[in-house]
Amino acid sequence: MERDVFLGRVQAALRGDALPAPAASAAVPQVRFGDAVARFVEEARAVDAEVSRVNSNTALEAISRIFEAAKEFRYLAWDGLDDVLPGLADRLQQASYQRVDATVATDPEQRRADHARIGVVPLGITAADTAIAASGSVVLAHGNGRPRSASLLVDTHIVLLPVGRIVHSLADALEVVDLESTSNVVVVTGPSRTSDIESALTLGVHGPRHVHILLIE
Amino acid sequence: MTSQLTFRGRIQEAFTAGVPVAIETATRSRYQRRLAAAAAFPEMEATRDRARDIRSEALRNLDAYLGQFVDVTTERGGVVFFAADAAEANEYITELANAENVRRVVKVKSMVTEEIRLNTALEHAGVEVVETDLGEFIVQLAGETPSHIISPVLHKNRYDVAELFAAELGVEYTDDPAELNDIARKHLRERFLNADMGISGVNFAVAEDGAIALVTNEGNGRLSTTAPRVHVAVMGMERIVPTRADLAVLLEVLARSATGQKLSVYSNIVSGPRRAHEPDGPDQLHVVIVDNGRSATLGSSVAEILLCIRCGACLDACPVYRHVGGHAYGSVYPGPIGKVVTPSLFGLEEWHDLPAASSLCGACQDACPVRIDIPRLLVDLREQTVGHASRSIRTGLAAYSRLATRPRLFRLATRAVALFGRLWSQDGWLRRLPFLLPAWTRRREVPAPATQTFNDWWRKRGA
Repeated sequence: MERDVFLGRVQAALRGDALPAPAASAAVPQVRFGDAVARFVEEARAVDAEVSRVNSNTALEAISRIFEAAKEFRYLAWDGLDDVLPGLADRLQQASYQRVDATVATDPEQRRADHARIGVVPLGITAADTAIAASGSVVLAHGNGRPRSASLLVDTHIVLLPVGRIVHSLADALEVVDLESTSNVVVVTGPSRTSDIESALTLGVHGPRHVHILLIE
Repeated sequence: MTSQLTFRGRIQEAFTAGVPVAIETATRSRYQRRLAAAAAFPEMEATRDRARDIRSEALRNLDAYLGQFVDVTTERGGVVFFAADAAEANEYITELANAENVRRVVKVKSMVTEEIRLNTALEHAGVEVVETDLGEFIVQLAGETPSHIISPVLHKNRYDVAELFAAELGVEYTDDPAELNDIARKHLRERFLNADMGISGVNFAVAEDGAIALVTNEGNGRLSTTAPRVHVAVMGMERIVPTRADLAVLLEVLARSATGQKLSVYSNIVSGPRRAHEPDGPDQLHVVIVDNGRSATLGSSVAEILLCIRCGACLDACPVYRHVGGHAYGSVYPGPIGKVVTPSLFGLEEWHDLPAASSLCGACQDACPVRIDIPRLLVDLREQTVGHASRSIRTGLAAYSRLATRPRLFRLATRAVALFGRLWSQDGWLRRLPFLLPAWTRRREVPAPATQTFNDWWRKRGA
């Protein structure tokens, strides 16, 4: 149906004035925590994310431990992680860990081949653009050099989070998101979960089973 | 749209199948979880007021916000199609699938695609459709329909799923939910990575950003809108919110009302297809905006129902839903909200019996995050349905109205009923009613009538 005809039907229906009038409610009170960092840690752990409070040295140790525990050497990652955690690329290279290119082609056949290559990589490293104290969530804006797969196809998702990026609420986080230059922003609150079978909680349905947040002080 | 059975027949079937026990347990536990979540959030009431205002503001200027949404989405590379009805939506999507040589579609659970029967249309066109929400996947394997808006397999227990997986997927029998989950993960992962098209619904569309928000806990929403070349988002035209700040309010309200979570695991915001230089994501985004009866509802006396954000809270709160389960309603939209949505979208003539299945207790309105006055809407629909009622009901009502407008006759009749009632009762309860009334006591006991009528009591009191 043509846009004008479709919207014309809507306009005609609205002339009946059948909807309840807004009650002019006050804006939702802004959430402000005394200690947003402590709140973030508490909330993230409550949704089964693992949170380690680290500095730039112990962060590298923590990442190594996760790789060793997973007995893995391949990983997906965003570009520019060294800006968040200096020395990360060198460290991973020294340990002979291999970053797998996460670029997916447009051509259907090539795309399948790319998926076959990327889909088996069990570890992914990203850096949160912001994080939300109220819900323990991390916000990831995808785009150039920032593949979605690094937080999606992997079993274990490692998130670098400089402590200064924690904001109080979802509203605060969405306010600073840029949706013009990127096609996708995701707010991640803990590992993938379901309660579909007899309301029994299970982690790691389609997305990562483990979300490690490295909170860099 | 209806199943072969009547509403009454479907309720009978639900009781016979023993479904309600599972539903009763699950709905009660989630109802409790939701109350706890609301209690732990002091701003909940103010947030509900705000959410209601956002929804009504969006709908009162729906034409303008839809236009703005479409303009921005198009600017960002999305393709928009306006579908007047189910047939137009299905035709557009199946033609697109053919043009793009799509052999397999992965799908995110969505009420509007259930409503328009998109899967059937695609399968007719030779396209394989895989539901990827765990519950919806189970429902699809079993060849059934969902029984709850957010928990499609509320009616099944783990042993049902275990047997189904063993039979349909050729895996060894296990009834451990974690192992069943792993089986589904492995099976579906392969489907995601080899699908040509991903189809999702839309939880909210943000007018100012031309963006759509898609909420899941499992991650299938992200996978279906990332891996395939083509992403088709199907949205009921009322899903609009004006601004990003409004989106923040509604995402929180939705998560709290649906499951008692502070936020769902993945709040996925999509704005156009992948840009040049983005390493992954779909190359095409199509947004199909569906009317299918909504503009008629918008101009009707039950327009308020369009505020609904499809959280499912009213289902869990409803004593009727808890007893009969979702399938008894015979529609893709079950429960209190379904009793209004179904007749308003698909026609009151065919669905006139649904609004009657309510005691108007108001639990649904209490549970509704945007405070929809569902009891008022049900009464409104009932008024409209009088003409559709069966001859026996119309005759009965006419007889009652003659009785009720003649005071002496009415007094006589109530005394007679009280007398017979007491004669029939045991220990103050009526367990089995005679004549035309046995249905009343088939599944419940009715208190015996009082020894004196209200009128008698009132008169004595005054003397």
